[in-house]
Amino acid sequence: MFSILNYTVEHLYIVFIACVFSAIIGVMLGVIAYWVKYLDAIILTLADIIQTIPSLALLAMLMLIFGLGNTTLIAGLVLYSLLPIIRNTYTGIQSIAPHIKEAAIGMGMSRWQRLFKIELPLAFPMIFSGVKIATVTAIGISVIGVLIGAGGLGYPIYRGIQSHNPGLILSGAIPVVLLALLFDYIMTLLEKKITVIKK
Amino acid sequence: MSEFITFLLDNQRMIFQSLAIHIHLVIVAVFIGCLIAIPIGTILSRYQKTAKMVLGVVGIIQTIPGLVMLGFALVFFGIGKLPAVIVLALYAILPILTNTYIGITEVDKHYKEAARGIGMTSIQILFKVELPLALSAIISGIKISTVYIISWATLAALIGAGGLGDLIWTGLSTTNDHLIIVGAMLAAVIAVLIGAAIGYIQNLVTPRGLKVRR
Amino acid sequence: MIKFSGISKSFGKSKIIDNLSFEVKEGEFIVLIGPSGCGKTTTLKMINRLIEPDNGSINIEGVDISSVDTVTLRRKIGYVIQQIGLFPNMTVEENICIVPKLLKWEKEKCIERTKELLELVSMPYDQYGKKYPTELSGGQQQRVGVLRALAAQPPIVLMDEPFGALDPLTRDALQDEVKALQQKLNKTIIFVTHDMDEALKMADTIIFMDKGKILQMASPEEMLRKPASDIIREFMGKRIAYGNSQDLSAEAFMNTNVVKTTENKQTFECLELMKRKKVNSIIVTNNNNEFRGIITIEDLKKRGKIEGPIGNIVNEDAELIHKDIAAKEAFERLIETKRDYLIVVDDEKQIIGIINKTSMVKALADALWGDLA
Repeated sequence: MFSILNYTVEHLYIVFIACVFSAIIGVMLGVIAYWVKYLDAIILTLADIIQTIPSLALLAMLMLIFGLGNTTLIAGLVLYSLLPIIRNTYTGIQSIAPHIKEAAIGMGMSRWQRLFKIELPLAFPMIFSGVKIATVTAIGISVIGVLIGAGGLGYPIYRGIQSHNPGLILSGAIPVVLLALLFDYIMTLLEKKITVIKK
Repeated sequence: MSEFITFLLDNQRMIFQSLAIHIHLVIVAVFIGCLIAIPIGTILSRYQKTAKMVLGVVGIIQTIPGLVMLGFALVFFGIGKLPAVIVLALYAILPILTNTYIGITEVDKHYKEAARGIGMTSIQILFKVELPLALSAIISGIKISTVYIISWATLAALIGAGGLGDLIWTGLSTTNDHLIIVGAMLAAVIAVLIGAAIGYIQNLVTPRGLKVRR
Repeated sequence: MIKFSGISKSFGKSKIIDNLSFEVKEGEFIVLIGPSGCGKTTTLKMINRLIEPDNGSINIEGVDISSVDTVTLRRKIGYVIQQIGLFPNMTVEENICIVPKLLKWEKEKCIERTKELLELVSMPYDQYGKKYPTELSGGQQQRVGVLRALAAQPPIVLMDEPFGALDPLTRDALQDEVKALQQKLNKTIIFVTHDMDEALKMADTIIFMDKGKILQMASPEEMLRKPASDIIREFMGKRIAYGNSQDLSAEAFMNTNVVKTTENKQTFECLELMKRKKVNSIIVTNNNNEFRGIITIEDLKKRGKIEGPIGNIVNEDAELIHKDIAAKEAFERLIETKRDYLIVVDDEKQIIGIINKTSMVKALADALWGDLA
């Protein structure tokens, strides 16, 4: 029981680190896609392609660079989580009513001021929903990390498979499913709350 | 580099075989998935209350990691292709089911009323109006399923189903970088290519009348 | 043709249709009108059994429709809805041919029929047949919607506020077309609207409903003359007006929307103005708004490109009348002189309007229907 708690904590830790990184990188790329017109298609297509790559394939390739262990898993999760965050940042800013942007320009705000005072705050609910999708997906995918030597709840699942022990598999699987549902639930609640405030 | 090419040439039979098995697994699983999901999605569109429940359960099943399901398949059905196909098909059902249901229920009710008003039977309305209008959404569901299944099929190697996962997996356990690169690259390439191909088909079967307003 | 006998319908606790009975003759254009929630759309939808009544019976040509299979019934009744409902996945041709195909017509016959129908609304098959609904304007879409309803030659056509979503000009054109089609093809049409102008224009018989009951069923003329209740009177609004038109002056009927310009304007400015206002002649005044002459597009064309002010080339040959002369006299002058319009001036010789044939029709309508209100 104690060990499952440990695996759960490690699992969450990996997902958390990955999501923080991918939120930072994703929002940056989303803003770049918004600012630089001809880059938007390239960035979004690339992120789309990365997400299409099978997870084991991506992790295996990353392993050749980062070696066995948590770093590879985190790198893989970051790459995977980029698409929803980039896309939501981009469309979130894009869909702000033109008159609001015009007003900001008219008041003499610089590009950065507009970004931090107007555009990002208004796009925040959408960005958050992107982070939610990324987090819930990452909780599921990180199970595979055990195959490239990372820790987390994938470990008991894999051990269970190897030893034909359904109980052991479940001991890892149930927390994963619960975590995914829990995060989905909590983040959906938060999402609704911030959306209401913004309106 | 030349070392890698020699490796490719030496092992080309095995590589092609893995690729073929992988694609075979995916096609069979997605095909079974379609056969089950499209009729059920269509029927559910007639029973919206039941549908909410079913889709809720489907959503929960979707959060179960593929590795877990494959693990259970191994424990209960043993090693081989069949358990892998069963699990993969199960996963393939989910996005197709959801998209079929949503595609049909989101057809504007005016079209359905017009269709009823001019004397179409409910079967005719389904085949001439609802399904054609939902087709794009259904194919989009098939695309999502296929890309997922290509990914999860790499894990199927763990329960002895073979495929590209076999190359990656053997590579990982014997630290053979060449094997890993070949397996991973091929898996990535077919996922991207097949995804793009289905997207192209989706565009192709969407009637011109539905594409004009974007 | 269609007979409602003692029809009632409730949704939950509210009674939508209350013991409704009426009869529609073959080839009649019936307009159902009334405030929203009066049951007009429900009444319409009972005819093709999209809604089933709780009590009573509806007969079409002596047959109780509840004994007819809904699909068979609906294929014999055309149906046009406000949202148009053309199937976006089908071309214009495919949309029109749906019912004929359901009825297993031969392919050539379907194409023939489509061509014939498109011809009726001046949308040539070669140009429009293969287009998709989204490639058409709203007015064209609804024309196709009407054609789809007519395709299998149903004796009855139901129309549920078919022109409600169109702009006024398009609506007007479609009203004329549908009315003409109905007379030409001798269809029985049941038409729902909340627009009294539309009802007066289209109907042979207007059925005015409120709270699920018929308040009045009468010809447009009779309804204007003897509205049966205050609600109807209110609906008619300004259309019931004027006392005795004999006493009325030209001013009462003139059109005040006059396109005019001053004599120092350049030729090309006048052309521009004509184009913009879509008229082929304009009235030219001096700077005091007194009549100087008129200029027609033919005049301008005949003279070719002439630079300089319009005042040099105006045609002074026009008929001026004083605003106080009797309307009757004004109309007589209009007919005698065979002019397009007469120019109405006041005591200070200021131009205040024109009298044309539209003014006459308006006066006639008022005289005919307005005086007994």
